[in-house]
Parts: sequence; C-alpha cells; structure tokens
Amino acid sequence: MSPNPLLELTDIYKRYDSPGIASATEVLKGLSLQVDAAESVAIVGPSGSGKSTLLNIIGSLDKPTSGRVMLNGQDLSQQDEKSLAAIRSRQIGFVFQLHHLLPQCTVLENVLVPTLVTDRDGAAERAQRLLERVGLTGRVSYRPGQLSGGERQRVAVVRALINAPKLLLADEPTGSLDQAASDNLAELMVELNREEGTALIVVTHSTDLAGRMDRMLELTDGVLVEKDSLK
Amino acid sequence: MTTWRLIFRSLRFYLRGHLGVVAGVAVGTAVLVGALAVGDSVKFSLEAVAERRLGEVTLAVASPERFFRAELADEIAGELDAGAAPVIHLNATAVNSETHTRANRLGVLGVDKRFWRLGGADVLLDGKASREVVLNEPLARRLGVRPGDSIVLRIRKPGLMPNDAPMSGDAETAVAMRLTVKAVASESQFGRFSLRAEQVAPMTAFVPLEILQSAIDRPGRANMLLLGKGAKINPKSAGAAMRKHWKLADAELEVRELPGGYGEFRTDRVFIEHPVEQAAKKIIPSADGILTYFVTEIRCGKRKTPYSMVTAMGPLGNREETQGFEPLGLEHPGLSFDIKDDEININKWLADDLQAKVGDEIELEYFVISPTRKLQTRTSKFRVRRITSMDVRDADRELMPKFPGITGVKNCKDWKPGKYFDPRRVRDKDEDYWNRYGGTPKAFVTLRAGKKMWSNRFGGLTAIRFPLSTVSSRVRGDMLRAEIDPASVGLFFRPVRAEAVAAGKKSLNFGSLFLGMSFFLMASAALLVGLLFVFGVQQRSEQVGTLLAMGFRPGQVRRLMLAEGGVLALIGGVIGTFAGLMYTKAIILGLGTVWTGAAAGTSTIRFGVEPMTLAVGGVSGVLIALAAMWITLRGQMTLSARQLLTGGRVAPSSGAKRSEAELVGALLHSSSSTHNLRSAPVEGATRHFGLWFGLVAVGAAVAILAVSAGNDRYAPTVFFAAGAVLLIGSLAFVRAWISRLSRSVEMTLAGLSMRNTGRRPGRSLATVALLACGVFLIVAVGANRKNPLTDTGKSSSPTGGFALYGESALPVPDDLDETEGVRFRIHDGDDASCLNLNRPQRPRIMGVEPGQLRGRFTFAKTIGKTDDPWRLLNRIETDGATPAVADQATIVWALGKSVGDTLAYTDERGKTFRIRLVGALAGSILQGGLIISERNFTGHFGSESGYRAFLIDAPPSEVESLTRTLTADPGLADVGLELTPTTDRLAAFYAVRNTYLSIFQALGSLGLLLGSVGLGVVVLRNVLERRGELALLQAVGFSRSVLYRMVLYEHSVLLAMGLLCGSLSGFVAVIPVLRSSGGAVPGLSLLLTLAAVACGGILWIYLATASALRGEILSALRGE
Repeated sequence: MSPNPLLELTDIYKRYDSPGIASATEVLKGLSLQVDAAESVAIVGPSGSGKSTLLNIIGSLDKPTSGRVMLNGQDLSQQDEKSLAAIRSRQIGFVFQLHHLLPQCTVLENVLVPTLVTDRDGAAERAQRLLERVGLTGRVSYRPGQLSGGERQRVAVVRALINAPKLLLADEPTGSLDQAASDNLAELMVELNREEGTALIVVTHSTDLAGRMDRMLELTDGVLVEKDSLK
Repeated sequence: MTTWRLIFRSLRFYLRGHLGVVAGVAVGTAVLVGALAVGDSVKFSLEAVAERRLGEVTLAVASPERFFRAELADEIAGELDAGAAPVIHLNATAVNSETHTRANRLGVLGVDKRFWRLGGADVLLDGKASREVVLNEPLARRLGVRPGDSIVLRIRKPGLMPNDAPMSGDAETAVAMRLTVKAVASESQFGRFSLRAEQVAPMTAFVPLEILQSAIDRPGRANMLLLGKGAKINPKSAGAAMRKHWKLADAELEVRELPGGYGEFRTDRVFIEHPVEQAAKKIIPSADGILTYFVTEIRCGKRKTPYSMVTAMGPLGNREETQGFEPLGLEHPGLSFDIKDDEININKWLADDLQAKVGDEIELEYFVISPTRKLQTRTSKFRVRRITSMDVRDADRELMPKFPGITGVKNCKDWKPGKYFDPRRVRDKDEDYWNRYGGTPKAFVTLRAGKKMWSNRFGGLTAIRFPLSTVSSRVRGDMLRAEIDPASVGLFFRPVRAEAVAAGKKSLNFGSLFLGMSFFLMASAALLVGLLFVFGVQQRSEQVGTLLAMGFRPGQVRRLMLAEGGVLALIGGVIGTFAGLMYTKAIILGLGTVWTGAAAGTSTIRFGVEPMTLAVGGVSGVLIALAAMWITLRGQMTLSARQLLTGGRVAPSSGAKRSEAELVGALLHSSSSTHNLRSAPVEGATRHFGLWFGLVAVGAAVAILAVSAGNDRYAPTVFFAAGAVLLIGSLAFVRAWISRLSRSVEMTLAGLSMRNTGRRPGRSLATVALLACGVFLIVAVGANRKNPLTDTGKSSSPTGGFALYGESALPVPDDLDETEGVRFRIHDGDDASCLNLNRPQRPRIMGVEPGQLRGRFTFAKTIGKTDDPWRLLNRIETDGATPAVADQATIVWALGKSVGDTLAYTDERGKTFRIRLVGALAGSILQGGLIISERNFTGHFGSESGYRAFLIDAPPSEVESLTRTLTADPGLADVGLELTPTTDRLAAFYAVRNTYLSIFQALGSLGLLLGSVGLGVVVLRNVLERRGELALLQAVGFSRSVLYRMVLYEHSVLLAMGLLCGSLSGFVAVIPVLRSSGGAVPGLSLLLTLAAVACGGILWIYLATASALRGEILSALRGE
C-alpha cells in the first residue's frame, strides 16, 4: 500500500432505522479500506451486505454513522454539501447499474452534462475522443432510447470519465447486461482505468468482472475481507 | 452543451407532460388578466360615458335656484376665447299625449345652438321660439314616442324667491307645455348630456331656450352656464372672467334712485342675502337697512287690524339706532326713530283703526317658516311711542318689496301671500287703505327688533338705502359689485370635466373586485400548476439524483428545473394573456346579461384594455406560477441523490432528524412523495401533533364564539373567523386520521383502500385541504345572500319599518305633510349608492329632521356611543364640520371612506365646507346620499326649497290602497312623485350584492372544478406510481373491477372529507346570516353546487383511475 492512498476509509460504521423495529440495523461495522491512485478494486458480497451503501459513502452520496473517509487528502465528513458537490463533479465518476442517461439528450450531450458544472475546456473534444475509444463514434447524435443496453452503459462510463475524475465508482455496472455486453464493458472499464489513470472501485456480483480488478474484497458482516486471503 | 440546451431538450422531450402545466398557467393568467381587464373596461367605459355626457364642457355654473343673464355666457366666452352656452335646467315630468305614458323625474334643458356646438353635434334645436322638443333616447323610450308625436311637459316654475321663504306666495309652482317631438337625440348627438357622474343615462327633454325662458317668466335668463374647452379654460381664469363680467342683475339685485337724493339696493328675491348686506355695510357704512314684513294681524287690546306691512329700519353701520336715527328718504313730519327696540311708531290710520294711543301695547302677529317648513305663528309686543301723520310720500310706498302674490294685485281679497291668508278677513277699510296708500307700512320698529322677528336664512333685509350726496347710484352699484364675491351669490364654476375624470378614475375598482372574486379560481390554478409541475419533476427523480451524483448542487438542479418551469410559465402566460382577453369579453357579456345587477343594470360596459394591464396581468400570472413551482420544488429537493436514484425506496438513516418546522410544513403544504419515507416515530409525532393542533383549533373556535356571545355587532366577522379556525382544526384532525389509516391492520378491500389513503399523507391532505377551502368559501359566501322581504316591518330593519319610499321631480306640495312619515330635502348630486359605478364627486345630500328617524334603521357604526344615533346629526363639531349619516355601502364602497372621516363639499355660495361621517347605517334603503340635519341643510343650501324624498309609514294591509291613492292624486302626479315599496328599493340594492355573490360563487365553483381536476391528477399520479403493486394484486387474483373500486374508495374518502370539513366550517361561518333579518341561505343552489363538486370529483377519480389502469397492467409487474 502507498503511504498516501487516494482513498482511505477508517473505522466506518453505518446504521439504518427500520420502521416498527426498535433496534437499528447496522450494515457497516468498523470497516476500513485504502485504495491507491489508478488502482482497481472489486467489492463483492451477498445482497444486502451493504456494498452499495459503502459505494455511496465513498462517493459522498451518503454519510457514515461514524468513521472517516479521506479522498485525495480531503476528509469528506468535514465538507459541506457545496464542497461535496464540487468534489463529486471533479474527482469522482459514477456508473450505476441502471445507466440513468437523460432520455431527452443525445449521446454526446449526455456525456457533456457533467461539464455544465465544471466548465472544463476542451470537453467536447475529450467527449468525442472517449466516445470514439468506446466505439460509439457513430452514435453521438443518438438518444439513449435508440441504443442497446451495453451501449448505454458505455455512454454512462464515458460520462463518468468526462471530467477526468481521480476515482470511478461503478455500482453493478453489468448487472442489467447480457454476458457479451458485460464482458465488453468489463474489458473497457479496465482498459480505461489503465489509460486514464483513474482509480476504479466496482461493486459487483460478477466474479468475472471482479476478477479483472487488481484487488477483490468481500463485504461480510459489515467488514471488508481480502478475497485472496479468504482463498 | 449548455444549460439552456439541456433545458430546451427537456422541454421538448417532456412536452406532453408539460402541457398540463402550461394549461394551468394559462388558466391562472387568463383569470388574472381577465379580472384586471374587466377593471380597465369599466374605467374605459366610464371615461367614454363622461366624454359623451360632457362633450366639450369643461366648467359649469349650475345654480338651480338662481337665474343670471344669458348674455353672461357670451361675455365670459369672449374673455376666455372658448365656447359657452347658457342653459336653463329644471326638473320636470312628461306625459305622452296619446298614450298617457308618464315619465317622472326627468330634466328639461332650455338650449340653443351654442349648446349643441359644445357637444360637437348637429344643431337639433336652435333655441328660437318653436313649440318643439328634442328627447334623449331613454326618455323617448320611456314615453314610447317618435318624432312628430306630442308630449306634455310639466316643468317646475322657479319662483322669484325660494318656495320656502316667508311670503314666497301661493302661486302655481309648475307650468305645463304641450310640445311636438322634433327628434330623438342619440348619445353621439349629445343626448347623454348630464353633469352628474353616473353611468346610467338620465331622461332629458331639450326645449328651445327662448320658449323655456318665456314659460317660466324669466326672459333672457339662464341658471346653467357651460364653458367648453380652451387654452385659457381653468377654474382660476374662469373665476376671474366671472368677477370681471358679472353684474348685480346676475344676482337678481337692482340699484335705483329714490326721490330726495337717495339710492336703494333691492332684489327680486325679496330678501337681500347676507353676503350682499355685509358687502353694502362695508362700502356704505352710512346706509340704512330696511326690513318690511307682512304681518297677519296687529292688535291693541281686543281690536284688530288684519294683513298689514310693518317696516323695521335702522342704520347698517355703527350708528346708534336709538339716539336720533333719521331714516333716509323718510323725512315726513313726526317720523322720528328715537325709539327703543320694544317701542313702535304707528301711523294715524292704524291708530284710529285700533283706537290706540301713545303708551298703549300693540301686538304683532305674523307667520314665520320653521326650519322644517312648518308655518308657525309668532307674536311680538311693543309699546306705542309715536303716532305719525298720513303725509305719505312715494318713498313710503316703496318700503314694501315685491312680494309675490301681493305686489301689483288690485284688491286685497285677491292677494295670494300664502295658505295662511284668509280673504274673508279683509275689510272694506283695508281695501281702501290699499287703494290709497298701497304697501305703505302701518307701523315702524327698530331694525334690531325687526331682524329678531323676521330675519331668516334667505336674508335679513328687504332694501338698503343710502345717500347720493357725492356719488351716483350707478357708482354705488359698481362698488357693491366689486365688493361681492360672485361665488357667494351662487355664480361660481365647477370643474365638471375634472370631476368626471376623477369619478371615472376613482370608480369602483372592478379589477380588484374580480381579482377578489377570482381568488379561489387563481389559487386552484396555481395549486394545479404546482401539482402538475412537481409530479413532472417526481417522474424525473432519478434524473435529478443522477445530476446530484454528477456534482450538481441541489440549488443548481432546482434552478435548472425552475428555468424549465419558467419557460412553461412564460408560454402559459402568453397563452393566458390572450385567453384573458376572451375571458374579459365573456365577463363583460355576463355583466350585460346574467349579472346585470353588478353593474347596476347597465350595459354600458365596453371592452377596453390598457397594454400595461395585459403586461402586469401576464407577468403576474407567470410569477404566481413560478412561485407555485418553486414552493413545490423546494419540498422535492429535500431528498438526497441516493434516495432519488433508488426512486425513494431507501429508508432514512437513524439520526436524520426532521425539524418541527419541516413537520408543520409537510403537514400543511407539501404534496410531494417524500412523506411515505417517514419513520414510525415521525408519523406518530405528526399524528399527535395533528390531534393536538385540531383540538386547540376547535377549542379556539368555541372560545371565539363564547367570548363574542351577545355582541351582534361583530357577529359576522367573529363567526367567519371561528369557521376558518374550525376549518384549520378539522384539517389537522384529518391529517391525524390519515396517519392512523396507514397503520390500519384490517385486511378488507376497504381497509386496504384506507391504508393506501394514508400512504401519502401530505398529498392526501393537500387534496382534502384544497376541496375543503373551496367548499368553505362557497358555503360561507353563498349563504350571505340577502332576502329583502324578511322582517321589513321592524323599525330596526333596512327599511326602517317604512312601507313606501317616494321621490319627486318637483318639490311636493304640503298635502303630503298630512301623511305619516319622514320628509327629506334633496340637494341633487351624484348617486352614491352601489348602483353607481363612478366614484361620486358631489354625492347627493339629504336633509332631515333627525328626531323623525329616532329608533329607525340599525347603525353598523357610530362615531361615539349613543342611544339615539340620529341625534349625532345635531352635534356641534369643534372644527365646524357638518355631521352626516350614510349607509355603510355608501361610505365604504361609493366614497371609499369610513366613519369619522370628513369630505369637502361646496355649498350653494361656492364656499367649501366639511362633512363628517358620524354614523353608518347597516345595509339600508337610504343608500345613495349623505344625510344631514335639516337645519344644516338649509344653512348650506338655503335657496333649495321643498321636500323631494319621503319615507311613508303604513300598515301592510293599507300599503296598496295608499299607493293607489297617492299615485292617483293629480297634484302629486304633476310633481312626478314616484312611490316604490321599500322592499323593492331594498331588493334593488341587494341585487348588486347578491349578483357579486353569484359571480363569486360561479367563479368559486369554477375554481373548485379546477380543484377537482387537481384531485384527478393526484389520483392519476397515485395510481401510476403504484401500477406495479396493482399489477401484483391482479396477478394474485384481484379483478380489474376490484382494483377500480379500491382506488375509487381510497380517493372518495378524500373527496368526502374535503366536502365535510368545508361544509361544516362554512355553515358555522354563516350562522349570523341565518339568524339575521334578510338572511336567506340559497340551500338548493348550495346543495347543487356541492353535489356537482362531489360528482365532478368522482368523475375525475374514475377517469384518472381508468386512464392509469388502461392497458395491460401486468406488464408493469414484468417491468418490476
């Protein structure tokens, strides 16, 4: 591990209240994690183990009940909403299980939406380049409704990378794709991770996808365990 | 990619969903623009009416009882280089000679071609002596005549002196003229001419000026002077021109020379007015004042001399009267005025007749007219100081002024000085005296004693004499003219055009009125816009979550959405603005047809809208829509990206506390879908809060009613407040109940429906609240209608307990004095009732003896506490203001004032005085004018004589026969007495109010209809959101009809709750109306309205459910 990891989670706890139940459900129980720049990590685990919760906490979409999240030297728990939004727009990219593309915009416009809050120079050229890289040059003026599921997810990946984030978070990115599309997307994400130097954390049930990552961690009983060590 | 590109992409993509929002904004804007445009149209119409009724007339002298030289008009016109016309304006009645159709209370105008020129119209009558008449359209319509037909005009013949003046004579006060209708003057032909700021055209007959002058024995005279437009025309310049050109003759004053080197001022009006006396005193301190009076009897012991002239004389200036005063022009032997105020000099003829000698007591009996115009006999005693010889010179005869009915009459027995004169009492020796000595006074007293007995509001002298030693009588006349302000003798200009402009500008603001009446409609539209917009946003909640995840801040996303909404609002605003114009035309059509009562039965309202109004209305509509969007959007943006991305299926974290403010806000406002995310403790807190809040509100309502029990004065306000508080309380209970529903465990179809109702408490409550508020307003307002036929016999009722109201064109003869009732003097002015849309600039003044109205009518407010509010009219105000009482509607709506306020008024001498409103009558038949005491009335309008309005008492069984009797009386018919049952008069006033309520109810019902569309939208949204669940139910065996029923049950409960809460609170609010006299709840129409709302609501629920459950529901399950 690098002495200056890109991401460092320390002793993270997360509880949820359940309607009608007096005691809260504790999902994360003192979880810690370090991820270096350009590293790729897969998080696996059974449904309801808290994988998505962990990803949301890393992506500043949720807050831990306790513990500390440091991203690129910044303590996310100390940031206000405005700063967190700025961090998300510049340092984090998201890819969801459902692509969440804006149906009213074309492929190119969807990719460029994140740049509306960053005013990044050369965004259009970068978008064109990335779309070309993922094989969607001929689809730039298409609407999401005119694309296949795999193509939509590729657009979502490009959209996540448009602001050149330091960390790309993918929550079940292949969950709604068929095998071929899943393989294709997995390959693409790994390649882009290397090419763009972006750290990648993927939450997945897919062992194929997880196996392509540098590290594989399993979330069990609220803590992360190195998959290899389990082996 | 730019933000605007994203916005336009979204607008285009969600176009179908946005149509509802655009339609909602368009409806709201149309209603807003329409309301404002109606206000514009009314103002525009009133301005147009003012233009038509005044033509070019800018200033006017209108002095009904004073006749000046007609040439004065030309002299002033020449000075000011403007058009001018002398006119005679008198009240009259008219009868169609053939059909005998009668028109009462019309105006007759004596005009010549100058008048038509001022109206910019063709000359319909040239003023020459032809027996022709031109009628305006309303009069021609009333009489049913056409050119060539014949009519009889009965015109009030103004006397030389006011009818109320002592010795004004018993002569005929009206003159009849048979004339041929030459033409009917349309409004564009100046037939609408009137100086009164009223939108209803008066009935007018135009007669050649010369003919009218001749008919009323006023050749070359006029009582109205109209001045047209011109560069130099303004009240100041016109006043200066008047001062320059007026002559003593214009004030009916004359200056003449008497034998012996003396001059004399006297007047055809008999009594020299006080301002003239003051002016004469100032310029000729050495002048003598003369007051000659007609006494009915002079007594000495048991001996009597009937009907004699007695003169009071004395110096006008400071000369000591009792010390050697030598009367000017009376230098015959023995006539020394070295007498005291209780002494009298009698002539030898009288001394012989009474066998009186020096030192005897003489008693004078004479009539004076009381302030209530009752003839009152008075007596005064004097001791005989000297007996003068009968060496009478001409000057002595001249001491008698030109008494109407006496001067020029050959025999005493033919005198007509008044009804008190009995010719049988005239003896031969009296005839002989009249033949030999004429009007030579038989006795003389001091001026001080004479004034004490006979001075009255018309004047205190009958002549002023002065020596002509150094200057001629003409010079004295000029000096007097220069000293008198012509305004003080009624010769002043009124800025009639400025008054008309002000009356139109400050007229009843129909814009505000319709805004108020359309409030609920607009609120419904705004709520609908908010609902539709936020539902659109909710449909895109994952999109919002994505944007937040990508680093957009909530504020940025909100602005993005709001910008999108702004474009929609703008489009809706533009459509609404144009639709508003159509809506305006529809309202104007309504005001001219079904709602004629609101505009006082007139169809004069024409479409006319200012561009600025359209801009203001359009922009306001857009801003209101934006506000509605912003408020609903604010609630939506409280969700986190995580929640939005999962479609709101994630439970909140522990410790994510909601503030109390959020709870209350959510309780009362929000319709967002967030509330199903609440935790049980939060719902529990809400439920408890709702229960407590409801209990407190109901307690507050009961407390309000208990505290105000017995205080009827504020009952309507108190009960309305209690009803409103109860409404809030009942909604809080509903909120608590809805929370409880979500915990229902009973697993029946109805139970499941109930549980579903509780799933979206905020949305459900918003639906109930919208319906309940609408129903509350409709019930509360609808039940405020008044029925004029209730309790009208009571003295405290709006009719004052009187059976008939009468008003005449000409002063009514004394015969009516015998009828039980109350009489009013009238100073004509603008109608200040709710029947006049203009803001009255010179409201009509009514003078009454306050004691006659004791215990009559009910006062809504008085300036101080008193057992008999009518006595406030006799109050002496420290600032000299004249106390007045008026109907509350007159004070508040017509005048825009409140009790305690003052308003400036001009008396007949052009002097401004202030009127203080000391009492407001609660909704009475006395709407339309300001009521002051008769004493004050005669003080300000001394020359206006007689009574022209009457409240007549009669038992209900005799009303009809009394009306028949009075109507059949030819004398009363001639003066144009029009009798109306007080209930009819009240109904006319109530019609305005009831029409406003109808409009409010109609617009409110439209609003409620729109609100029920909101209900449909909520249903649609609820069902669409739960399509998966419903599909599941269908999958496990629920039939489609069962699903329909379930959805119908759950939303019908909301509908029923809304109707129930609104109706109950509404009825509490109108309890005082139900208890009050005249209160008449239109039960059927209210029930029908509520039934329509219920049916409409069920229809929307059904349609929305049908639309949402259309097609293959199970596909939704597959989608899940």
